[in-house]
Amino acid sequence: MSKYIRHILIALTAFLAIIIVNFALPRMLPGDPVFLLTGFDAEVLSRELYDSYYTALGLDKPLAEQFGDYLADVFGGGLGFSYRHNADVASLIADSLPATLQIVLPAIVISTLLAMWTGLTAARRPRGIADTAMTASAALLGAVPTFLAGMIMVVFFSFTLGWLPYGNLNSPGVDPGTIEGFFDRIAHLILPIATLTLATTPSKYMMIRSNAEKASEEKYVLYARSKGVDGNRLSFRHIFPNVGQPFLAMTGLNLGAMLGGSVVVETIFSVNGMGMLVSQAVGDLDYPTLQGCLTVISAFILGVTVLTDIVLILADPEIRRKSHAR
Amino acid sequence: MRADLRLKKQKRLRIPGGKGAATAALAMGCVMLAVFLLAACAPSAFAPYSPTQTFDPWLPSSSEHVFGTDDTGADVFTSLVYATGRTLLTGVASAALALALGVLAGLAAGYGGVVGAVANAVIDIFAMIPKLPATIVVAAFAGGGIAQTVTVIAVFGWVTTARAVRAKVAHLNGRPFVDALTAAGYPKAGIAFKHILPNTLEVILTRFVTTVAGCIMTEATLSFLGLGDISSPTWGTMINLAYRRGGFAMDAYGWLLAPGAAIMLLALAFWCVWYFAEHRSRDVSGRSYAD
Repeated sequence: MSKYIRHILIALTAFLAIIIVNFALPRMLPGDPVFLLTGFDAEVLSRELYDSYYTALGLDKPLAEQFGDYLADVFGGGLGFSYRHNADVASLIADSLPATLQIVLPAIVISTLLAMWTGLTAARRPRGIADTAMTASAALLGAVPTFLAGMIMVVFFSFTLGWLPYGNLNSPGVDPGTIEGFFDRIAHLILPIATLTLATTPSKYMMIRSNAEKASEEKYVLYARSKGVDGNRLSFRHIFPNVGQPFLAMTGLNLGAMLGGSVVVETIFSVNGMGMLVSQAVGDLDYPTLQGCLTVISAFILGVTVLTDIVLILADPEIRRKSHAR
Repeated sequence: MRADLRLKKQKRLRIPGGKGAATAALAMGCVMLAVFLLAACAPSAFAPYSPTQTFDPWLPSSSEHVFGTDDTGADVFTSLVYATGRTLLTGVASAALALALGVLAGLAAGYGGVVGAVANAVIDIFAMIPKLPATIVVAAFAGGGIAQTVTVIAVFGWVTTARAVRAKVAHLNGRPFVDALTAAGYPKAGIAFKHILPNTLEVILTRFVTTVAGCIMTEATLSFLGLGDISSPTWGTMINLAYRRGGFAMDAYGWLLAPGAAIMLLALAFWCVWYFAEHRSRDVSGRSYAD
């Protein structure tokens, strides 16, 4: 039990660390905090504008008060103000999050299932043909940068074969509410989801394969085998429950990697999601937006970590049996 | 008896492929790395043209221009060769820094007491931070110079090394020689640096290879997003330029895909070397600290 609580506390500390770093970065770095907080530079800002921003940002107040205001803004849901977009960062993220989640969530599910299935299958006969082939392809795919995978997909499936549309999540003029719009959306989602899945599956495969192989030397596997349990049932009913825990415990981090990968994928496929928001903010030096996105991503990771830990506590036979016994 | 022992050793391997495959992988990796290193040191020997020479813009790939020309008419293959050095330098420098941080943190984590507790907490907290998003944001603040890029990549890239070193140190701390040294009254720091550190060398070398590949990948992603230094382009910067300047619309696939393919080959070369090292370390010590 205590190991889960420790895990949750670590995730919470990591989240708070990100929030503090977000506050400290523009104030600590050698650049002018007004430029770093608005994203404008001396060429754009007149003296008067600079002064008005300086007071508007509260930079004339003592640091502790600034930190209090900043925390109130983060937890109050504003997440800062983007002077580039002239809007609350929170509202910008709220507008772009649905598109990102439509790519990231299916990619998480597909890559997890795919890694589980291939990893457990490969570990069934370590160093056999299937294992060698799958591990070699995982190593090969793991070396492909996400942007290369995305560009090859676009060039091949959209431009050369013309099978799938390129750009955004809807074709122009199609109403997303209709059935036609629904299938149009699916067609737009296939390539980004496939790219993100391709980018994140190899490392998961390697992990589950190596754990499953270690586990298959255990005595319970030998016992199950001697009772005649074999194949899928052995892998999924007997081995997976014993190796799935670290795999599930990584879901939170995995989400972070997915959202990071989504920055590249959305940029390549011109999807107006949170990744595109980050990518544009990098180009515009829109620092408040960047920070808001990082805060939201960290909050997501914290939430998912807490959730998976609760699931793991409920699923942990040791804890479950103990509470039954009482 | 001997056959039994060998069987046991083989069963411990967590990666497929025999000794022959490992040696072949090493040879392949070394040849590829040698080519990249030569291209980095003497680009003019590989590049067909001078980096300032220009032709017609947007030429498709042909026998004169393997990957075509870009929007300014520069030969893409020539730019690719001339960017090798900067790409390798960024990757190796940030990996070296990340490795130093990771080894220090990993050693400290096995130290016990307050130092150990703090190091353990820092490692665990950093492991929970979303690496790529955090790197992107901090890199945007830090600006695009090579020193800044290297530092930012290293700051978020040392955790896996620290965890591997920590595992190895925990393993070594249980060994009799550490007990003997402690009982003999040697100072703790001396034991850590003089006796434990040399024993982690195998882990450190294995980690270095994967870290370089990972750092090059991160740098490429940062440059792809436009955080690179345009005055000294890396492969990632080239992809960014190709993408922003209409490579898709102009069908300049050579310009778009060649730098990515080069990154992939480089990562594969490092992976081949890692594969051999992992094989060796498992043959020798029978376990891995990679995960």
